[in-house]
Amino acid sequence: MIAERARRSDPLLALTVFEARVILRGRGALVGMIGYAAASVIVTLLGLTSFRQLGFGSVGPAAVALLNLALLLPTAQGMVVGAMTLAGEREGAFLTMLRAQGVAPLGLVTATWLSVTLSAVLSLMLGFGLSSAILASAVPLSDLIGFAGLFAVALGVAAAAAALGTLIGTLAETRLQAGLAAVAAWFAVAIGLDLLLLGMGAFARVGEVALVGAVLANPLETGRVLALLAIDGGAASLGPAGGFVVTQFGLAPTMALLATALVAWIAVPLLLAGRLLATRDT
Amino acid sequence: MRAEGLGPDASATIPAPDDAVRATVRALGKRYGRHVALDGVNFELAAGEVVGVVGPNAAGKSTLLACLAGTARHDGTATAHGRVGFLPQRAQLPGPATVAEVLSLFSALRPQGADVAELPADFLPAADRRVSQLSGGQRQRVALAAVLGGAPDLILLDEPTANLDPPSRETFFTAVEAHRANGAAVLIASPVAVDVLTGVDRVLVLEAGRLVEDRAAPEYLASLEMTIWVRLIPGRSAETLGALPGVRRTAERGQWIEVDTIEASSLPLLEALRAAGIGADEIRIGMQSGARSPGRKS
Repeated sequence: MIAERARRSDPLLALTVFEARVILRGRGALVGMIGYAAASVIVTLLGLTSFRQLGFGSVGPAAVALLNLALLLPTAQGMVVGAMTLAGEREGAFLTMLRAQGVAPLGLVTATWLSVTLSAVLSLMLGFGLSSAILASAVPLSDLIGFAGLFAVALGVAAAAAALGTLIGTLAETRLQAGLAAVAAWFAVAIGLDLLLLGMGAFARVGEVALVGAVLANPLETGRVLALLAIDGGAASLGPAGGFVVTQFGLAPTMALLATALVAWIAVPLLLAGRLLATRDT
Repeated sequence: MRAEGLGPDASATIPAPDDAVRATVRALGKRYGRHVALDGVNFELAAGEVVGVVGPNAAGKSTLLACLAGTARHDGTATAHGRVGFLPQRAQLPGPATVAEVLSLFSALRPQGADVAELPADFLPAADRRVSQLSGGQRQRVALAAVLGGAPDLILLDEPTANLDPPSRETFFTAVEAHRANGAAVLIASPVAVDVLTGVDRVLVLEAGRLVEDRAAPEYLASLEMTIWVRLIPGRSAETLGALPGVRRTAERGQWIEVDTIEASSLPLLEALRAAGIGADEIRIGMQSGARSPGRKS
């Protein structure tokens, strides 16, 4: 007879560990990790070669070259895996089983988010680890400090993307629908909002304040500016919005503002997802 | 308490009272847009009671269980007293998880980390096998073990025997009996009436969201429609068989005469057929799977 003694662990922790195992064994996380790691190595090697030819020797320019990659790929992974995990469990009535066991909706959402974020963190660690190893052979170790800041920001953006993915998974009826919606949302934050801003700029003057609003309204843009500040506070590549805020408020308050925005991009979708799950049939 | 009206919160459940009412359903209603899934359903479940919910597709069986489990918003009252174990229809466990991980998770989610269900070792697949590697029946067994674990006070099972082979069904009903003896109330939904009648005390019949019958199982069973097919040969007709006792309707279908009766009349009818010289090799018997009871006055 089976009489397995229960592990007296915290339910949220147990659920998070369970979800993390499921996600890490899934194809989505694996493809994300391998894809990001391979892309990181290629971009790092190409970046080093190109910058050497241009006369740059430090890691800074290479880190800038890696910035878009670090923000885009783990973000896509977090958003798509987050959305499809929750929607899939809802579609397969596994969420129903868990809710009937007394797991609070916010607990379910949080466990999924933590697990998806963990998978994105592992991707980032793998990609950054390989890039760091390559860079360390070419530049002094002290130059890698900016790299740590980039890693931290990329982690924050991936966590925000996982939160958005979790919210999408709560809204979607099916796993497929959630996956498609997540891809669409990723295109929106990666390209769509920038294109919208460009389009608006063609018809009307977009002021600095509006540009700052646009940066804060897009977690990926928030992360991009924050990462650039972390790498090099005086970077010309900050663009008009970043430059305006740094001039107005100074470097540290600007970074605090952007970090707060990133935290809000994590907290608000999670709270919304928990609320939606509590008020909808599962 | 399972909330009333707003849709219950699974995290809040009334502790099981000593007087042993395990579920209270009052004026329960549920709509999906314009479609009425449940309409004014009333009943109670006592401790140690095993009740079948039968009815055709879209009768509201799954919705009723979901309301009681606290996973569907509803009007009226659907209160579960004590801890709930709920197996939804066609529940899918995450494929990459192993059997042991699923059971450990549900174990950890229980308030006091109670033991999993006492089920024979061969009921479950090997603990280290992944769910994605299991057959439909094996997955169903794992899901049942997860839900039945920890002695829930109210067990809600939606088509629990789907995909189960006969020995597994027997084991399942043995486990249900053990939970009944432990004071749990069990509600089993199935579109196939005969599927849930083993060990059931009471039968609730749902039709178009309404509870049209709430009867003791033996009484319900006796009223179930049965069909006896008799081989059609020269000199034998539907009219002649229609005169036999307990026959409700006859019709000739190809090489067979279809004789409709009810369970309670089936034995006397079989005796009459044998007395009329019709051998066992000329007879086929089938219990109609529909939940509609012909004995009910409508």
